[in-house]
Amino acid sequence: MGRLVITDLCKQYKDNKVVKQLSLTIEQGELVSLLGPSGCGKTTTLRMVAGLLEPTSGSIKLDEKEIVNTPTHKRDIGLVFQNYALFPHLTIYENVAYGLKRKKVNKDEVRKRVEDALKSVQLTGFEDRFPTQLSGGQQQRVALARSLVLNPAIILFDEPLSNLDAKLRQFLRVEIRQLQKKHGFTALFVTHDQEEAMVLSDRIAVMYNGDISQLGTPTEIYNEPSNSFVANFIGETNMIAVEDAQEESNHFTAKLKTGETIKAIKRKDSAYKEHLIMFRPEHAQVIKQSVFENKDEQNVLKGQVEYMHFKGSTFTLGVKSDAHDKTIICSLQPDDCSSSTFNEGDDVFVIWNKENTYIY
Amino acid sequence: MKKISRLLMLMMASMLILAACSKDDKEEGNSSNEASEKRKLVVSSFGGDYEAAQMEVLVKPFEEEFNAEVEVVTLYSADALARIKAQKGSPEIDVVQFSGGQEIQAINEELVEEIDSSIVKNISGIYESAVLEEGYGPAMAFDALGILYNIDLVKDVPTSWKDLWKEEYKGNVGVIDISNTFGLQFLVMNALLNEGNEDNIDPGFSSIETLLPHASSIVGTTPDLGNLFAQEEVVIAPYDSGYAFNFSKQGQPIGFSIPEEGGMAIFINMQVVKGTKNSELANEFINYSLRPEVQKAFAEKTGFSPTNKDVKISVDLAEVIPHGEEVMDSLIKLDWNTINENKAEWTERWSKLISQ
Amino acid sequence: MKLKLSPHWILLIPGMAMMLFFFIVPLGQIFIISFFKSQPDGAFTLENYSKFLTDSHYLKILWRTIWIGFVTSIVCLVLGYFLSYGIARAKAKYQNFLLLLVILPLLTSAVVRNFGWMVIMGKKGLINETLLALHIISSPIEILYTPLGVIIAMTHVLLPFMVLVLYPILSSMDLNIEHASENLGASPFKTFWLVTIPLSLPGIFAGTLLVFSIAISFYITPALIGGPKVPVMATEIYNQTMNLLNWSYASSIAVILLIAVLLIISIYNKMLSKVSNQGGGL
Repeated sequence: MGRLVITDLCKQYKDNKVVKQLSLTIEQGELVSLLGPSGCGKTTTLRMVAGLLEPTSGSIKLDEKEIVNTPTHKRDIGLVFQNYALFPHLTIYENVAYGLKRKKVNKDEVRKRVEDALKSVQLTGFEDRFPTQLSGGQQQRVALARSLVLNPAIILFDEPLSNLDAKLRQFLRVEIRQLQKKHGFTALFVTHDQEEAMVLSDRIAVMYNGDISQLGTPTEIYNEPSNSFVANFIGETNMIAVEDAQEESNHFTAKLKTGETIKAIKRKDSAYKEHLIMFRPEHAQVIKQSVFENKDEQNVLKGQVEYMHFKGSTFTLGVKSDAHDKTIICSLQPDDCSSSTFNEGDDVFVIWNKENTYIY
Repeated sequence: MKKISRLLMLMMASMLILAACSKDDKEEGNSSNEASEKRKLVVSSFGGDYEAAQMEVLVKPFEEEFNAEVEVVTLYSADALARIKAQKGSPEIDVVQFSGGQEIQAINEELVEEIDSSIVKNISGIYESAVLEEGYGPAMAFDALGILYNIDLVKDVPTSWKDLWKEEYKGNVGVIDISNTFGLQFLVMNALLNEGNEDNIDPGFSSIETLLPHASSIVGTTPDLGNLFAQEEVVIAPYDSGYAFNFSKQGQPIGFSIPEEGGMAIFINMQVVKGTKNSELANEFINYSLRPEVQKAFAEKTGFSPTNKDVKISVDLAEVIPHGEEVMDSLIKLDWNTINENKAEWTERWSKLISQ
Repeated sequence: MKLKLSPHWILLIPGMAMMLFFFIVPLGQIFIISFFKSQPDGAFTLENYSKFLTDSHYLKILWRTIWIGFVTSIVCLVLGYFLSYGIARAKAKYQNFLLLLVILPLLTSAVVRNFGWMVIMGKKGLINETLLALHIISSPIEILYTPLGVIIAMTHVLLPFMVLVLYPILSSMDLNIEHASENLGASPFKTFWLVTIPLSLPGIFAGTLLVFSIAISFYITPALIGGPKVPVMATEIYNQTMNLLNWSYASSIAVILLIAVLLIISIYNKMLSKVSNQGGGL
């Protein structure tokens, strides 16, 4: 119950292809996020699944049943909006009861189910208030209850936390995840916030330009980004241009314009297409030395300290190197160094392993 | 800085008020602040083709000869009377034009003044019976209330007022509302036809009541009637010869006939409004309207007959419009004093009779 | 002592002066005249009011005026609502053009417009010809010089007002609320009835009130299209003033009309505030 299969879904406006041949299977009880920058097609995809937008072509099946031609009000799908979309002229009780009344559920059962739904979002006692009397977070919880009360197999979330402040966002997303696990409904979650996607999702579909760039668990996406876009979107990166690369038996050897050699291990889908190598700031080591002996075949770049930012739990060092046109970002633990270790302008070496290097 | 902006706004506000006030001054015809050579006169007329004709044959030549500027205001007789009554004491109209007995009421209510016989010399040339009230403006044109009919659809030329009741016209008869002088005259005519008169109007009402089921509609204005004739919703109606002439000039197939029981007299007259500042010019205007050549030109254009003895209208015109002293004398004249006294009561009675 | 007048009060003075001299004072004069006999003796009297209120002919005129106004406002509401809804949901680039089409009647002269109607409504006019051709009627019906004709012509010119009130409300409505309703199982029709209309209720009230108050004070359209057989308050006032020169009676009719309008507006307002309160801050 709640298995969603999207096959070759397309949405085209005149010459503009907003969603291109998108295919995705969401298993029962999964929470899958559609993550990407604005314009990538994630909201368009969600709206097509909801039935608010007509696809140009493609199929959407919910539990083996084709729903792409079913009108919105006949699809058994929940929907939570970014701006809550509560009915301002109805009380909270009536808002939550709305869907049940459309299904002609009898009065007593309506009352019980509404009370249960409000309880699960911790809004018992708010029945007679009106939406405008509630805070943003409370309104969103009512919106959630309104969908939950119908026990749908799948609930769609259209950036539901984007209108809330940071602390509330963090709090509510955990609640949403807990509710989802407790009730067991499938969820398709649209967001542009990568941290949110990482925390909530069983799997993430990173979208770019109407396509799914990579689909995987948060760990997979973070540790094995399949292209530079995904790598850049999730977490921080140092993406350095490469002039030439050779494929060896179990690693790639890349040559930078400035002459350095960088090694990257071969991964499942590694290919030299974008002429880039990448490593993450937290994998970098910084040594303040004038000379460095590269004994263990590590990747090394020479440069000068540009800035030092103490962030509390980490320490960010920016290194200017001829090898890279941008500042190399290194994320260090305060234990490894202190604010007095480095000074602006110091000559340093940035060192990292080929196991932590990616080639694109 | 605040003081200056407040001052500026005060100035703007007062300028606005002053502008509004000064506009009123101009419209009052207050020529004291203007060193203009032209003398000004305000005259009322009846609009449409009638007014256009009057402009051409009377107003414009007058303006030229007397170096004057004449403003023509469009007002039906009843409205004109109401207007000068409202403006009593400081009238904006100098010469008021009436067509249906309003002059009697105006004289009684002291809204108009006697003409200056030293200026209005042409009065000596008009028919005796065209002098309506001694000392006041005479009739400058006349026509008759009779029967208008569609010459294509009404095969037998109507000869009697009773023809309006003919079965073959049922549903296509035009009845004129009492707010229109012709409607009022027709009501009295109905009384006269049934042994009543201005003092005994009941037979008139009963008679009209029998005509109502034959009516296509009840109309109050000339354009409305013209429209209904054009759409052939009305094929026969009591109205005056002047507008019959007018309609046929517009291309409508409309004929006119004076019933054997008698047509009703309609005297167009102009009066000098009491309290006008342009009395001399007003009198000159009235005198001008009595000139034979003006009256002849006016007749050719509007179908209203001249009252000046020295006017000879063309043969063609003479065939279609009632003209000449003999005809004028034969038309039934009404007791306007009695009518005016009872008009309010009759109007109310009429409204109740016709409203659904 | 400096005058402490803030600038915005000074700006109000010309407008307030105009209101006073051209509205309040004449209104007061009318009110006073209605209590005095027309010349010659000019004594204080209530006979103008008693005449109106005891004569069924005049009470019918009042009733007819209110009835025509009411029907016109309802017709304008139904037509105007669908029109506004359609325009609000049309493609953005077409909306201004469509609004212009709706407002077109207001841009034509009242007299020209009404004469056009007189031709269309005649027994040989477009309406009758069409109905006859479609065999909906077997002989021409009277539309001109009837209350029906007046209602049609007034709807034509008052519909833009209704649209101008409803359109902003419908176009600024959050579409997601309608989407939410459909998502929760309400068909588009049900959504329209349960969500769209309740949320536009203030506009509905404002629009109908606007149309109604203009309709009951209309003169030209009832005069030309209704004619002598369909007297309304405005035409009767004209009749008494211009034809019969009975200004004091005319004034009393005007006062009665004013009181009737104020009564109806206050009832409307009460109903409107009840509705607003329900929505908890619409």
